[in-house]
Formats: sequence, C-alpha cells, structure tokens
Amino acid sequence: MAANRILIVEDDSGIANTVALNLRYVGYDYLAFDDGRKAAAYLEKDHSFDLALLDIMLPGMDGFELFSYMEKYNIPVIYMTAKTDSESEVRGLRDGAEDYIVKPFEVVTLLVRIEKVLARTGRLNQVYRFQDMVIDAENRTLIKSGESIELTPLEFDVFCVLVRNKNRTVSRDRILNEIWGEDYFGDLRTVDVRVANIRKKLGMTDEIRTISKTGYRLEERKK
Amino acid sequence: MKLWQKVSLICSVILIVVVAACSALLLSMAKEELLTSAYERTELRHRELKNNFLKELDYHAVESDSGTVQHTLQHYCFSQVSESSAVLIVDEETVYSQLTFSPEDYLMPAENGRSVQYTGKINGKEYYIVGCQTSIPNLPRTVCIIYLAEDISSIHANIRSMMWMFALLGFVCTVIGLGLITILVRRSMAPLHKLQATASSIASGNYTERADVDSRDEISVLAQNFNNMAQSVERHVDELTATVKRQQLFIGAVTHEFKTPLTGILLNADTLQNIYMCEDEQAEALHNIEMQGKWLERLVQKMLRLLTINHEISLSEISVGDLIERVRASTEASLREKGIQLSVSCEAETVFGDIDLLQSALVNLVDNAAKASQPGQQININAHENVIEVSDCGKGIPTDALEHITEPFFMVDKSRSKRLGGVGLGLALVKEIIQAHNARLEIESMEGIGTTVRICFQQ
Repeated sequence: MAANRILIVEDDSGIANTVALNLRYVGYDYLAFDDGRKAAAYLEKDHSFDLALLDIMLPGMDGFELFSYMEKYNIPVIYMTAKTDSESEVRGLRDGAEDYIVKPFEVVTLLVRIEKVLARTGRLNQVYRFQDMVIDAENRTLIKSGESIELTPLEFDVFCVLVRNKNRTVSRDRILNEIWGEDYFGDLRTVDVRVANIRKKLGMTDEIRTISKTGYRLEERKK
Repeated sequence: MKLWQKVSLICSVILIVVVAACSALLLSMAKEELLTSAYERTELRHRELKNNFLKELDYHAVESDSGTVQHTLQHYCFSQVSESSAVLIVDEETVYSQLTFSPEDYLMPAENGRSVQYTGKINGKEYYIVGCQTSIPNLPRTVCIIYLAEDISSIHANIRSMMWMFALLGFVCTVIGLGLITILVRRSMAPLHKLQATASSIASGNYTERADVDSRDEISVLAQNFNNMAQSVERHVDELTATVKRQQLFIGAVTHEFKTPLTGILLNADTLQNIYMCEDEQAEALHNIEMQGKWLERLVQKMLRLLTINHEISLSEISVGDLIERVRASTEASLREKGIQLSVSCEAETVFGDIDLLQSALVNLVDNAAKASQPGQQININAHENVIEVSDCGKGIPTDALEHITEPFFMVDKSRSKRLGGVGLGLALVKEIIQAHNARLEIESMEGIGTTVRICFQQ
C-alpha cells in the first residue's frame, strides 16, 4: 500500500509550500495547485487522491465550485480558509465536506484532521515504512530487515505515533492523547519508559531523538 | 387635558357668556319697551279721560248748589266716559270707583295739576297708576282727583315667559354650538393626530414614514417642515448605516487579509520548530516568514494611511507641474527596472489640494499601470484644466470588475497581484484621497487595450 496522496489547492504560495513540506516530511504524497481551474483540469486526467485540502477564495474557480469535482471523483475534502463567517462554514459542511479548518491554523491540527478524515473514510494508509522497517498498524506487526520484532502493545502504539509523524517533533502530551484519548491525564514518564524500551529493542538510539522539554522526534535523515 | 378639549372648552365658555349677555340685553330692552309703551298708553288714556270728563260735565252743567245734585252729575258724567279702572275723588270723597283698593293710599297728586305715577304691586297684581288733580270749572273750590290704574301684570308675565323662552333658546343654542365646536375643533385637529402618529412611528425607527396632511393651514406647513425634517433624519441615518456597514465590511476584509500572512508565518515557525529539515529548507522557511511579515507591514502601513487621510489633509494651491515632477521622480527607478516608459505632459497651472496625498494617489495609479503593463510599454500622465489622468496600454480591467475596483482588498487577479506585492488597498487609498479633495475619480478601461484613470477636480 502506497503513501496517502493529497491534493492541495491554495493560492498563497507561502501556505501551500509549508503545508506541502510538512506533508512530505510525515510521509504523504501531495500535489499542489494555486488556481482552481488548473486543479479541476488536472483532475480530468488524474484523480487518484485520498484527500483534498481546498482554500475557498481561489483564483480561477472557488473552493465551493471545485467541491463538485471532488464529489465526482469521490475525494474527501477539508476546507482550509480564512473565511470565518458561519455561512460559508455551514455551506461547506452541508455540501458534504469532511472537515473545515480556519486560518490561522497549526500544522498539528491540520495533520490530526487529515489523519482522522482518512481513517473515517477508510483510506488511511496503515502500513508505514521507515528505513529497513515495515510497520503494519492494522495487523500490529513490525518487520525489521525481514525479521519480526516483538513490541508490547503500548510500545507499538507509541512507535506508531512517532512513525506517523516522522521528522516532526511529537510532544509527550500528544503521544498520551493519541493512545489514551484526550481525557487521560497519565504520567508523562510512562512515555519516556516506552521510548527507552523501543530504542533498545530496535537499536534506534540516534534516530529517536529526545527534544528537550517537549518530546521526541523520529528522524529519517542525518545531517 | 388635550388641545381639542381646551379649545372646545374656551369656545364653549365664550359662547355661553355671549349668549347669556345678549339674551339679558335683549330681554331688558324688550321689557323697557313694553313697559314704556304701556305707561304711555295709560297716560294718554288718563288725559283723554280727564278731558272727556270735563267736557261731559260742561255739557251737562247744572246751576245748582246742591252737593247731592253735583255729586250725582259728577258720578253720571264720569261713568259715561270712564273705564273700569278709573277712580274719581271729589273733595276727598270717592265719587266713582270700581277698584278693590284705594289709589289715594299710594299716590296723592299735587295741586299744580301735574299728573303723578305709581308702579307697584297691589293685592298681588302689578299696577300702573296715573293720577292728577283738576278743578271743575263751575265749582272752583272743589278738588277733583282722577286716577287711572292699569293692570300691567300681563306685561310682567309676558316678560317672564320671554325670559324662560330666551333661557331655553340659549340653552339649545349653547348645546348645538358646543356640539358643532367640538366636531369642528376635532376635525381641524385631525391632521395633528396624523402628524403625531407619524412622529411616533418615525421615533420607533420607521424612518421612511411621511406625514400625509392635505389641508392649507399652519398644520400643513408644520407637516411639510416635519416631512423635511424626517427626510433629513432618514438621510443621515442611511448615511450612518452605510458608513457602519462599510466599516464592518472593511474590518471583515482586513481580518481576512491578515489571516493569510499570519497563517504563513505561524505555519513556517511551527515547521521550523518541529521538523527536522536540511539547511536549505530552513532558510526557505525563514525567508517565507520574512516575506509574509513584510507583506503584513505593507498592509498595516497602507491601512494606517487609509484611516488617517481625512485627519492629515491640508488643502492649498499647489503647482500641477511640481506634483507631476514629484510623481515622476519617485516612480522613475521602479519603472526603469521594469522597462516601462513614463511620458508626462502638463497644461494645467495649479489645483487646490494636498501635494503629499495627491502624490501618493498618483504614485499608486502609476504603480497599478506598471503592474498591468508589459516591458517596453508606456505610461502617460497628462494634466489639463482641473484634470490629471494616468493612462496605460496594459491588459485593462474586465467590465464586471470595474465597479468593484476601488473596494478595499478587491483584486482582479488575486494571486498575480500578490506576486507583484499588492495588498489590494491601492485604489481604495486613491479613492479616499480623491474624495477628501472633493474630486471625482473616473476609470475607463478596455481589456487588452489599456486603462485611463482620471482625477477631476471641482471647478
């Protein structure tokens, strides 16, 4: 199963580039357009996207118009816009958009929403690759260099969060939240214990970096 | 108390007083008239009675000293001429009387022969008594008194019944008058009620309401003035509402415009913090942040300018030549860089304005023209009597965009404008400056041929 492919239509190059960069780093494929009409034209020949991030105020064709194309090719939509008036929000969601994110937003929020929408629509890629490892989140197996490695369920979950957000700093809070839900107020030290175990079992002392006062980051490349 | 009640009350009081006074005057005059004529009649009859009696005595004169003869003769003669209410007294002896009372009790004529009168109530009746003393020609020593009493009770009764009639008539007149006054006053006050209803309707926020009063009196004048007032209130309210709406739209647009660069900055900062990137990528993220920050700064500066135009304006006579020279100087470098020519012609002497603001407006217009033009094309600034125009041979403005072109943050091609560094406030700024000069902004454009923007000052 290949990485999830995401269509970005956003006319502000600063935002489009940064979103794209983040998506690339955490392991999504993407294609970005700065013009609604161009995006629609491209969809005619290639529409194998798992998700579309649409701005509403777009040159060429606005996000609402573009939505009908997404519907045609069955691509779930998250609107990404500065329009906060409830009218467009209602319109966006009533038309069938999966979600709606208002500028200015945080990357984490966007990534979480993307993940949720992909999971909800059954498109989330559950098989991740990292270096010589294949991590199957659905069947909860980890294969390193052709050998299966046993992790405890909690260690596996923590590792999944790190892999899904590879190259990004993930805070201990977020790891706890991802695994036990938002309402859980656990000891942050449990995360540290799991991470130490993972490092030992997988021999990834360098790759899993401790970011002081924040959390951990799984780094793919070395500087 | 309401106005119509007051007016009715005052009118009623006046009516009652006038009716009562007139009635009283008429009554007293009538009474006077009736009594005088009754008195005169009685006196006349009394004189006739006296003369007839003396004639009769003279005719039947008998030479005799006998008192009885004389007495009988007098009685006979008097009874021939007298009326029922006459009395004859000779030497203090009543010779003839058919009255139930003695008139001598009430009045005693003097000896000089003048008649005397008495009016009064005797035995329940009003009497007018005339009496006079006379002497009988044959009997010089005898004192003869003739009374004539006239019962004037009927006249008094007449007057009394007249009084009742007057009172009744007065009452009826007053009642009818009151009714009429009330109706008329209320009718003439009706336009006031309409006016009042309109006023309260306007007060409750219904500013389009107008008073409809079609009479030709002061109330209609008042209504007219009232309508004028309502119209000016409506105009002011509309203006205020429009201003508030414009400001709300502006603030909405401003927040929207701020969000995009802010998002860019936050996303890039977030990425820098959280992603393990190579140096090139880090540099790019930092560059992005800088660009977005600069854009925000431009936005803030333009907005401040837009908001302060009306405060900083100081109009004076300025030379158009100087103005255009300043514009040329400040746009020269950027135009040369883009390979665009600027051609200037000035046939105007002076205009009334603020040279800094006008320079800012013209520089904006030249910038816009430059953005629409291709390298090698030319931009013209022409000035003639009260008109300064900036024209280009660039791509032009689509017809449907022309009317929105001066709205804040309106951009015909948003992504292109942003690439060229525009924040969408240039023409809004120009419009604001032009308005502050009481001048007019005219934009003519043909797609593919070019655009001409004209600033027309008032004569």
